[in-house]
Amino acid sequence: MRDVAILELKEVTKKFGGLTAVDSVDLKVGENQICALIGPNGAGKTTVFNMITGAYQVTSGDVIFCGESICGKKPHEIVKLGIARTFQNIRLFKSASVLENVMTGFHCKTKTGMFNVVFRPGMCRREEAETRQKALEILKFLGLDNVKDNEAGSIPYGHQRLLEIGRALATSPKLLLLDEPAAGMNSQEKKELVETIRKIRDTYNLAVLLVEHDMELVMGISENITVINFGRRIADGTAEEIQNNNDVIEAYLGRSED
Amino acid sequence: MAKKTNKKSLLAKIVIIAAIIIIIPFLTPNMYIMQIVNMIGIYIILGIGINVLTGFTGQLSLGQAAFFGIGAYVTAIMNTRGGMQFLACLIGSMVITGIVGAVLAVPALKVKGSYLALLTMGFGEIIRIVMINWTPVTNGTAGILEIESPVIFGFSFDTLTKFYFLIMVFVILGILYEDILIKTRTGRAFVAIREDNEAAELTGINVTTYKIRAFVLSAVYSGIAGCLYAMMIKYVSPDTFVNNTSNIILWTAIVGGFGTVVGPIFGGIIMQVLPEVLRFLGDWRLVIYGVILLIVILRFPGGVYPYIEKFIDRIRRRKKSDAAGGKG
Amino acid sequence: MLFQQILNGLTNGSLYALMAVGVTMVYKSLGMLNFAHGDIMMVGTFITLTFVLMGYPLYVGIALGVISAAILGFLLERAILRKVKFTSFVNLLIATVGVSYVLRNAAMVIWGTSPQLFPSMFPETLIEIGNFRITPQSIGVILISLVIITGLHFFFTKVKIGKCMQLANSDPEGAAMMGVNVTHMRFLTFGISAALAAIAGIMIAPMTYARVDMSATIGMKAFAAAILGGIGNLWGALLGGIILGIVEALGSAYISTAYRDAFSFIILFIVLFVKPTGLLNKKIENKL
Repeated sequence: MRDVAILELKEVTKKFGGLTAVDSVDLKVGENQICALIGPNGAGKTTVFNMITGAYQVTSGDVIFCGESICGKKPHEIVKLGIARTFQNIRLFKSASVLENVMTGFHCKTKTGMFNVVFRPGMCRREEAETRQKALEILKFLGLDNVKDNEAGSIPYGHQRLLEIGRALATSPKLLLLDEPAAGMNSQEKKELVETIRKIRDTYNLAVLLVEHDMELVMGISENITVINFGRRIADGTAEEIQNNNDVIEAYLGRSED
Repeated sequence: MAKKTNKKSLLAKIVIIAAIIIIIPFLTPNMYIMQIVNMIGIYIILGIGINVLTGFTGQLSLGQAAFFGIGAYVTAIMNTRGGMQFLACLIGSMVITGIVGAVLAVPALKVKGSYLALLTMGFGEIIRIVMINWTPVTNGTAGILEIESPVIFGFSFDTLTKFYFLIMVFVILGILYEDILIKTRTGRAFVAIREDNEAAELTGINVTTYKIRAFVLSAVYSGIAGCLYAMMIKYVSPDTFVNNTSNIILWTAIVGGFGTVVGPIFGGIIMQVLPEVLRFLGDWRLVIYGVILLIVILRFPGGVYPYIEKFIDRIRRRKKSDAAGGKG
Repeated sequence: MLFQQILNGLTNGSLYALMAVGVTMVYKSLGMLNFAHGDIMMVGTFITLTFVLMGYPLYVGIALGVISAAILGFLLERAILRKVKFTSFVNLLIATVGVSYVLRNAAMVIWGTSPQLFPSMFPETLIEIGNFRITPQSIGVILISLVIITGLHFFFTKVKIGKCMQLANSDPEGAAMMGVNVTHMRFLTFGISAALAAIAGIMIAPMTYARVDMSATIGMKAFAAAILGGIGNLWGALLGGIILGIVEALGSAYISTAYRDAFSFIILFIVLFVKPTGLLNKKIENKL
C-alpha cells in the first residue's frame, strides 16, 4: 500500500531569513491512507501544510503529488489538482450562508463566468442547480442540512469545523489536509470526529493527512504517523512504533506540560 | 403550486416597478427636478458599480470618479471630434474604462485596507491632473462643450424626459446583470475574497483574476454612467470628476446598502435628494449633509436597505398572522 | 538652480514629514489612515489666521490654532471613531472621510474659497552665501521640523508617558495589563498628531497662501510620505517626506510644473507596487 504514494515530500526545507523552520523533512501519504503529522508546539507542522498547499514557497526539496511536482504552483492550482485543507483557526466565509460556503468550494469544478450568464443562461442555470444539489448532498452527509441557510459565522463551533471540511470536500480532493480538526472539541465530539473522518475517507475515496495535538485521537485513527521536532523528522511509523520510540518520548517528555 | 405563486408575485413586482418608472416623469413638475431624477439614475449605476468592487469583493475604492470621468471624456471626444453616435461612444467608454480598470488592478492587487484606499484616491487625483493638463485631447480646464444628444436608430433622446427612459434601461439592465452574476459562481468568488482572501485562494479561487474582474466590472459600470452623463449634460470638465465625487459614489453604495444589489437605489435617491431638501439651510447645507451622512454611517453600518428589508418583512409577517388569526 | 531646487524640496519635504509623523502615529493606534488629517491641518491654519486678523500677535494665534487643532483631534477620536471602532474597517475609514467632508465644507462657509495671505514667522531678508540665496523661511522650516521630530523620538523612547503611548499603540492588551490607560493614550495620540498637522499648516501657508483646498493635496502627500518611508516609523516619515519633497521639486523644475502634484502619487504607486511596507520597514511574510 505504501508504494502508491499520493503525496511525497522529499527533503523539504523552509527557511525564513536565517531561521530554518523545516529542515529536510520526508513524508509519504499513501492512497486512501489516513496519516498524521505530529510534534510539539512550534515544530513546524503548519509550515509543512503551507508548503504542501503552495502558500509558502519551498526553499529546497520537492513536493510530489500524484507523481508530479507541485512546487512553485499557485495555491488555487494545487486545489484544482486535488489537495484541499482546513484551518487551525476556522476560516469560513462568515457572512455567507452555510450552503453558499460549500457551493463556493465547487468553484474549480464549474465554469460559469461573467459573460455566459448572459449568453448561455440555460447552461448556467443547469450548472447552478447541479452545484446546489451536490452541495446539499455534502451538507446532508455531514449532518448540516438543517442549518444550510444560516450565516456560517453564527452556527456552533463544532458545526463550523465540519462546514470547513464540507467546503474542502466540495473541491473533490484526492488528499484532505486537516489542521487540528479536534481543537476545542469535547471528548464526545472527538469520538464523532474520528468516525466522520473515516466515513469521509471511505465515501469520498481520498487520503487524509492531519495535524493534531490530541494523541489519543491521532493514535486511534492514523495508519502512519510522522513526528517532527524543531523542524526535523524524528520518527515515522505506525502508532505502536511511535509510542515506543525513544526520540519521540524524549521530545514530548522533555517539555514538562505534555 | 409554490412555483405558480412565485411566478405571479414576480409578475406583480414587474408590473409595479414598470408602473413606478413610467409614472415618475409625469409627476416631476419641471426640468430641474427631471435632471435630478436622471442624476439619481446615473448615481445608481455608479453605486451598483462600486458595490461590485467594494461591497461584494471588499476592495475599497476612493477613486471611482476617475472611471466616471474617463467614461464621460471618451464619449465627449468620440462624439465631438469623431462624430460618432451614442452606441459607438458607449462601447468606446466601456472598453477604455475596462482597460484602465485592469491597469489599476495591477498595483491594487498588492495592497489592501487603507493603502488600497489611498492608492485609488491617488489614481483619481492623477486622472484629474491629466484631464486638466492634457489640453490637446481634453481641452484642459475649459472642458469639452456641445456634446450631442444620443441618437439610437434615428430616434433622438433630446429631452430630459426621453433621456430618463434611456437611463432607466441601463439602471434595470445593470441591476439585473449584477443580481444574476452575484448569485452564481463569480459572485460567490467575490464574496469569498471579501470574507477571507487566503481561504478563498485555498478553496481553489484564482484571487488575482477575480480581483481584476471586480475592478474591470466596476470600472465598466462607471464608464456607462460617464457616457450617459456626458450626453445628458452635453458638457464635461475636470471639475466634475474630483475627489468629492468619488466620496459621494462610495457613500451611495454604503448609505444604500453595502454588498446588496438594490441598496444603491436607495443610496442614489438619498444622496441626490438630500442636498436639494437641505437648500433652505443656504451655505451650510453641505455641512449638514455631511453630518447627516456621518450619522447614517454610525447608526446604520450596513446601509439603510437591510433595515428597510427587515421592516417590510415584519409588516408582511404581521399581515400574514393577522390573516391567519382572522380565519381561526 | 539645482541647489535652489533641492533646498525647496527639503523645505517642502520637511513639512510633509511633519504631517507624515502624525499620520504614522494615528495609523499605529487605529490601524488605518485618518483621512481627515489634512483637514485638521487646514482648520488649525485658518484658526490661527482668524486670530491674527483679529489683531492678536502671530505667536498667540499660532498657539491658539495648534491647541484648537489638538482639541479637534481629541473630538474626532472621542465623538466619531470610538463609536465605529468595533463595527468594521470600511465604516471606520469612511467615517474619517465623512469628517473630512464636513470640515472642508464648514471651512468653505466660514473662511471662503479664495486664497488668503498668511503672515510668516520668519524675517523676509535673504541670506546670501557666495552665489546662493537662502530664505530664512527655508532654514526655519527645516530646523523646526527636525527639532520636533527628534524631540518626538526622545519623547517616545525616553519619557515615560511617551513609552506608554508606544506600548498602548503596539500592544493594547499588554499595556492595559501593565496599568496603562489605553483610552487616554489613544486620545493623546490623536491630539499630538493633530497639533503637528496644525504646526505644519502654519508653516506651509505663508508659502502657498492659506486656502481651504490645501487639505486634500497636502493630506495625500502626507500619506504618501508616511507609506514611502514605512508606516509606523518616525524616521521613515522623515525620510519619506524629504524624498517626496525633493522629487517633486526636481520633477517640476526639469520635467513639468503642471504635473507637480502627480509626481508624489506616481512615487506612491511605485512604492506600493515594489515594497508595500515602505523603505524602512521589514517585509512581513503572510502567516496563515
